[in-house]
Amino acid sequence: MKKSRILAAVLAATFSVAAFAGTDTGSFTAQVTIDPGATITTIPSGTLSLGSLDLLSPTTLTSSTENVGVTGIKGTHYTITCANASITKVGGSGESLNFTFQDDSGTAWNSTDVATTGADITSTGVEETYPFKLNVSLAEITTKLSTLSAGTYEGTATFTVTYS
Amino acid sequence: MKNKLLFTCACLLTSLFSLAAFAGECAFIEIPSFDFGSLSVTTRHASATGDVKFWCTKGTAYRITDNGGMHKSGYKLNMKSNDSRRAYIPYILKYNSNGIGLGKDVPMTVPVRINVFVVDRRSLVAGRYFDQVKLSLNY
Repeated sequence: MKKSRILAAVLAATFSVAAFAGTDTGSFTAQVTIDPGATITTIPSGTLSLGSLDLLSPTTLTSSTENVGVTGIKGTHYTITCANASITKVGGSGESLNFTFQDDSGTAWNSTDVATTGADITSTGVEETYPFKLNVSLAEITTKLSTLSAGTYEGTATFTVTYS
Repeated sequence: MKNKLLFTCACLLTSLFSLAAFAGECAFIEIPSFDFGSLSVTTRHASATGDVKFWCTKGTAYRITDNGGMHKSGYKLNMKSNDSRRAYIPYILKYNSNGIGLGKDVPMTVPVRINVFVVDRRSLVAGRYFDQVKLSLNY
């Protein structure tokens, strides 16, 4: 009998603590702005090889297919460009070969010095990749045949994504 | 019989006195807003902290609760884009909800932290995202 009474008292006390008699209210706002934007998220690492050029029987030089990837906020319009599309002889005196960017099927991007995919792309919100190859045309090699000397030619290409 | 009546009256008076002595009160003084500004395309998460200020009568137990905002989905709180595309950015709200008042002249602060997560980029669109959360100070 005594035990029952003690238990009842404890329960009553617990209930009393849990109950809140009054309330005051207020509110706050949280906001964030997402700007349109696109950024290059994948770019080939290391060096793309165009192979060796035999000046006695020149042929077109083509690299393996690589990818440049762009991630943008959904609905953002962007274009990809690539500048400095030439390779220069290491330790040489200005010998150079221009190259073009091609897509997977061999279609050239639309300029040699500022290459671009040519499209006004609308981002889907996930990374989109654009396969490309570097190509030194037979015409370019033939034109510069008399100025070229043996050695290693290399250059750096800079990809830029422009968005609005 | 007279003795019993007197005893009952004494008990009642004691109870009334007891209630009056322990009636607590609490009130908000200031509730901050959280503006994360602009997040860039590469931002994965962002966080901000603000102090909720209030007072409670000394010794009064309080509990702060929230209503989960206007766009709660399950356990997730969301900010919603201000256009018709129904894009959401989830966020987490953290604060210590319980405590004891220190008196009306001793304002108390509870830090509120919001973590924003940019997870599903496919559904994210450019624009402003917004939510309003109601806080209740129970005492």
